Amino acid sequence: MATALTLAAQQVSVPFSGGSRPQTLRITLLNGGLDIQGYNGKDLLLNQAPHNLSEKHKEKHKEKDEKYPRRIDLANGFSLSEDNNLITIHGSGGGTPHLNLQVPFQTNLEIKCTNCGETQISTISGDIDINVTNGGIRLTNTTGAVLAHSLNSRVHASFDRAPQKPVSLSTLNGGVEVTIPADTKANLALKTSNGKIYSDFDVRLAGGTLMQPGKGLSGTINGGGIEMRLNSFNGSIYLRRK
Amino acid sequence: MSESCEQFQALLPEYWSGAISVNQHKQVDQHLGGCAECRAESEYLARVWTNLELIPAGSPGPALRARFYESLDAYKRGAEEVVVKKRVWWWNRPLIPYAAAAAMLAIGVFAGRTFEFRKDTTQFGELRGEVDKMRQLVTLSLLQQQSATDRLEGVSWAYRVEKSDTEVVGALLKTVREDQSVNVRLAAVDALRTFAKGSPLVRKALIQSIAKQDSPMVEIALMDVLVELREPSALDPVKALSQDLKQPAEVRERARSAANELQ
Repeated sequence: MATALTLAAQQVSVPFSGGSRPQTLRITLLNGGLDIQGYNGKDLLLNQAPHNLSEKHKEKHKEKDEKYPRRIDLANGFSLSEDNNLITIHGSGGGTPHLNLQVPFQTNLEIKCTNCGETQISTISGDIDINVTNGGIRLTNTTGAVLAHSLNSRVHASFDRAPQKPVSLSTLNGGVEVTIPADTKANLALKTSNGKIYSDFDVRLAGGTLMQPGKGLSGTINGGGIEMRLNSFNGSIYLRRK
Repeated sequence: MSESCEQFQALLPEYWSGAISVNQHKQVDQHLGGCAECRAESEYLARVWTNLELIPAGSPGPALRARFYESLDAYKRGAEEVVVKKRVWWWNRPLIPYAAAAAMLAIGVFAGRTFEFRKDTTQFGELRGEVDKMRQLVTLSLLQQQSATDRLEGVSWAYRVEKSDTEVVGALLKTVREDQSVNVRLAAVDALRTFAKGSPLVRKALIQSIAKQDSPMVEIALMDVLVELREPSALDPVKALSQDLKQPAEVRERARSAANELQ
């Protein structure tokens, strides 16, 4: 708890200026990692504290952590700007920082990353548009629309509450894994060329040719509702009941 | 046919669907001016394209407006007549509504028999045309939005427009070629599947858009559709793709299997 407080004290905050445009965070990153959490506040918070350290490591760095101020710029070769409610973070070279960010719940996210570790996004109610070349995507408890694409890794999404807006996840070489509440109403379009499709939902297939190579499978759960499109080429698709 | 003719003919579907830059449009115009063979091809495509356009959607138009005021006037006159003609013999009274009802019935039966096969010329058809027009506008405007979510929704709306709506087809093809989001492009390919069924032009445009993709996912999805629709002219481009070493292994693999399925 104490650590959490000291971390909080060392955040860098960036206010959204308000204005006509919906609050948006746009990130373009060549290398690095992203961890974005929604929170009940107004500013973008940058947590530049070292994290994911083992206990032993933490102990070792404790003295250093207490004595020296933390880095408050992003990384070499990074820019951050705010204009009319849009915060843009751009990193085209330099280091491979792991950005740990907090944004107000309702922030829309537009993310492009070439080489990222697993991008984590949680508790966001804004719309999410994310495109990653190398690296997985893990979404937890988002309630806005989601468009996520990873070329080479797994896309994972877990929802505590039934999504109310479109969910579209795709990956060439990874699997797609979605966990949704049992009462989620959705129209499904599921497709994989070389993988398998698994679900513990009662899926009702509909429309013309029901299964065909290359066409995938379309149907509804709980009578139909939001559009849910899960798409992979080499990976499998899992649609799980929470 | 010279090489440049081939290039220009390849542009024709986009030329007619309006999904072409102003510059290219000029170039095509210029070329058509000087080349009879391409002009013939273009005119043929144009006929097909306009015939497609002719099929659905009556517009609200001045006729509906005129008819509305006509019926309003008729109603007003009717109301006035009731005020003026205070004395009507009792045996006259029921006759008017009965006669009107009988006449309506006769007209109804007659119209039902005569116009059964041309529903779109009736007011109902016009209303439906208006709804179609509205859906088309919603689709087109959503497809142009900044937000990927809106554009994705635009693609979903495209399922509700007439399958011969050339403007929507043009916008969807543009989305497949240019949209920033892979997911929106994938959805657009899926939506175009239904449009492509009855239209060789759309299938041709889909074949052409494979080469313009930077996303292997979308390339594969396009091949899936062409295989599903058994489009024979896709065979050569797909074969070429299977041997193009610049393509990712997954794309070449799918192109090989697609070529087998198309043969």
